[in-house]
Amino acid sequence: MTSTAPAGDVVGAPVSADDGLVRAYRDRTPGSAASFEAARRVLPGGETRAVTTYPPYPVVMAEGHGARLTDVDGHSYLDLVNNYTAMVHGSAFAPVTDAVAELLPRGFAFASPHPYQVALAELLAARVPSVHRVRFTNSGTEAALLAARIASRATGRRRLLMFDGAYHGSAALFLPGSPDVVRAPWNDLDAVAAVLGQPDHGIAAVFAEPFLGAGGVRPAMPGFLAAVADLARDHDVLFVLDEVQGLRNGPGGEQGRLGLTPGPDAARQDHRWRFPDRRGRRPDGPARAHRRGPDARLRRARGDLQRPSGRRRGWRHDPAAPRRGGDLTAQRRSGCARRADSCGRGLGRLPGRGHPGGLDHERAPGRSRTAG
Amino acid sequence: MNVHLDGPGQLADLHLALLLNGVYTTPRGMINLSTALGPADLDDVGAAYETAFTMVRPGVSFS
Repeated sequence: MTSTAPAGDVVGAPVSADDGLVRAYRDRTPGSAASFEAARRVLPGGETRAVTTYPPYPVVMAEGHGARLTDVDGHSYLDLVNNYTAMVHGSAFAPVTDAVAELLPRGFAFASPHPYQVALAELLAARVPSVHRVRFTNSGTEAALLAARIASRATGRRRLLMFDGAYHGSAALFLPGSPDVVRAPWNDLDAVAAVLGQPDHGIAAVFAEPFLGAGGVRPAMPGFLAAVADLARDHDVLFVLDEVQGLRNGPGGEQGRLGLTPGPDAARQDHRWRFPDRRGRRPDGPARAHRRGPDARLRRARGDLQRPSGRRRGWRHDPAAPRRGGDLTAQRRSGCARRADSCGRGLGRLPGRGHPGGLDHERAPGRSRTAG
Repeated sequence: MNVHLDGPGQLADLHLALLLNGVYTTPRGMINLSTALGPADLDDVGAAYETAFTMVRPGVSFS
């Protein structure tokens, strides 16, 4: 471990234990060091996004084209971050830059409705079956806060059920220790059932990512999220699927790959949310008049979770969920999505674990080995 | 195959080693793929990871 950090270094984050690596990094990136030092004079911490800083100082990028980034010292890097999936087609993707260049001379920020947002909303609604209408936000945090407000207003409850390791934004509501959040272990259906089974659970919504992003790119077990969605519906709780990252995994997002239909897909009548049944019909009777009760669904879901396939028999007649994990047909895939999948398989030989679209290295304190 | 690292310090080692080998990843180790990556790029990524692992843990072998 480096004993002292020179002035200007990032502190408070994990530090390389290898002085040789740090020296080599400093020797290679003097321009980044100077640029970051200048940034620290005008930006708290030297950067707006904490996630992009690391000791001794971050690489400062100057340009990006396709899969390559170039830093201020002129070094080229293969980009495996892609602005945390936002740049799924790489940097300076020609169709994007052409469209922006065409738009800029005509003005782009008006205090009025404009047709572009309608076009984008129509595109999203056409791609993602669960999306009927779109509210654009400036960040995932803002979107999650809106979803929480909707859930609270709809149910009259205020607590949220989230999973350990999940990230739904930087607002206080979603941070550890929030009094309005109940946490359950990832992939633990029994824990979810235990929380929702309490008569006074007070849960307005279950928030879930299709895979834990910041929590290590950990996928859900086959059938887990669909079972959670069923449990939520059975208990008149909204199921909110956070696809801030997952939406780039395919034209229909990760929910398209998994055959999920997250809420709030419901109509409010008589001050109650009435969830559609498996055929998309809204009930005439009480909102919880399901043919199968929560216990029966939980038993079936437990059985499904023990099978290796992501298919769930109970959804085979559901027109709203015609696709299951892994069976998004080639006809519905764009060439880009196929190519990304191919790249993911090509990286399978790398040591690591995680989702086909990403990889994270497992940290096991006290262990130092490469295991097969 | 999983890689078990000796905590955040060694993860920071790996991050710096990958930067030194021309691969831009996240400090926590997560990567994702863009459609701009081609087969040759992925070969370069694989080679860079092998080199980086060797820098972090000299003597490590790959099967």
